[in-house]
Amino acid sequence: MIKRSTLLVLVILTFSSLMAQDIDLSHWKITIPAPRPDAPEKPIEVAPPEIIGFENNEVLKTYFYKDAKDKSLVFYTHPAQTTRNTKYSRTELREQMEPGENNVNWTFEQGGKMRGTLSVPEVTQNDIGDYHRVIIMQIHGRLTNEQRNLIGQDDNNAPPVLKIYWDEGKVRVKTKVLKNRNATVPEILHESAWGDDKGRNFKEIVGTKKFTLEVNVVKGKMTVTLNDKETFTYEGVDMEKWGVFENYFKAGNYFQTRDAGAYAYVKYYELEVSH
Amino acid sequence: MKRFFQIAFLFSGFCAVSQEPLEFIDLMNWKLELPSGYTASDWKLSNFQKDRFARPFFYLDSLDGSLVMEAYPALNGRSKAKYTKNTLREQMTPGSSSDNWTMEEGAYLEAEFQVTDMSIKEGKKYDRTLLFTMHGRTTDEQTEKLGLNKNSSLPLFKIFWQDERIRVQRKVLEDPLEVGDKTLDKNFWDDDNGRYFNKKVGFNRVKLYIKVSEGQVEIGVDDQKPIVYKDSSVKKILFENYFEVGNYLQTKERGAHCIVKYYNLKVTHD
Repeated sequence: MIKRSTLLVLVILTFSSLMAQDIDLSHWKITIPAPRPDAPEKPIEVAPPEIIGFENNEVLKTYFYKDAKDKSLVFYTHPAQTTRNTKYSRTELREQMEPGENNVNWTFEQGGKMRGTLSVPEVTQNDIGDYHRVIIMQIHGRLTNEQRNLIGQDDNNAPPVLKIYWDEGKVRVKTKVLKNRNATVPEILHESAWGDDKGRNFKEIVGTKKFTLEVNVVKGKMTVTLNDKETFTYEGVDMEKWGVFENYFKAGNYFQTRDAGAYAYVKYYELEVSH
Repeated sequence: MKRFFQIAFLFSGFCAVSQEPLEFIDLMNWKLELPSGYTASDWKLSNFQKDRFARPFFYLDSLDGSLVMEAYPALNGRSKAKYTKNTLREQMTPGSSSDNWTMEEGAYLEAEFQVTDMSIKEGKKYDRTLLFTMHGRTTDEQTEKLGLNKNSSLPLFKIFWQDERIRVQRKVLEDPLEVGDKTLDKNFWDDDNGRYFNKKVGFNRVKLYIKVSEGQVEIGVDDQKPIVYKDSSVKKILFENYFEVGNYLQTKERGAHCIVKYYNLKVTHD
């Protein structure tokens, strides 16, 4: 006979697993490092609404699937097909404020918040034992069509203002700074006007454990918080001038190596965006 | 009967081991650099026993609990060090090299080690290895003041295993009357002639301490008379400091090798 307490535990467990919300993918597009059959020079992308059925998608399932045990979304990647403007491969989500549409994005004045709970359970090492690095979250800039035409660029690409790395068990944050702080439009629309800052590591070391990251842009000020404890704040001239761009969030596994045989896994347990 | 003694002997050996549980060296406040150029701190270093890239140079001896640090020139290594570097760098904040200590804050390092194997140079003389270093490092503020583009480090005290003895070599100010920013500039410091502790330590286990307080550095080896430095070159150390410990073999010659076992390593700042 099952004891009453055991039964209670079972009920609670069942209830809590039912309560565990799946990540809502209705505003995300996934990119995987596999070539598009119709255009092999480009990687496969699956946008809403098709992405909702990812669990039954044969093409995605090597790179993007649900872990049956812990219910997380798994992002697996290895060096293969890349997107335009990049040399590294990714299995990564790109925010789409309007499902299926890349042209609707947000400015720093409008703001946005992304919160995710994730882990990096497995990453390969290079030939001397350095772990390969993974970008796990980003805010990417984007030129409007008007800006693109103004500077005569042939696509809408702008630099990422925020890159969050898993770096040998630490969480490392990098942002962009203007090379010339007095620069204005149109100069600041060019990717070459922006350089990387020195980067900062959070004190808390995550290793392969689960952690929570929150990225918050409010009225031009950007903050990044690890495990609701330590926060990095970015404001000032660089952030003010970044206001010229539209942006979108990215989350997943953007793998920073082309070493043969390398691979990485990133798991997301929760992921939410709000504006 | 012989069999009985064998079993009894084994059993007594087992008891001896089980009575004194092995205490492993805590590596949380250290960053490792190996001859291959491999580096590890915090989480990565905590997994060193499973890391095949650490294993050839850095591993635990499960019988005596010691940390074994082997040094030999790595094939295709990417270490930027001049010689064959296998060292632990003190990190007061795990994973960060920018948090260090001043003379006023002080430090006490205690270690027990044993050089168990050392190559012989040209069939004549043992190679030497650098076991302990106290480095001075310019703070961000000092770095900016000096107009440098990154923090500069200077090995203020170096403790070698050399000629089977322990030898200390330190930096002295070229001009002991020098004051101000010049004392922060490497170019104004020279090596002294160095001093040996009298007794040979050879391949035996050695206990060593370094006691740093304002204006003074004291180094002790076993029961030998400690060496104390407290002249103006010590009083004028305005850097922030950190220790480096390990087996920094002072050659890149092919075939050179050295093994050092650490049984104990502790640093405190009270």
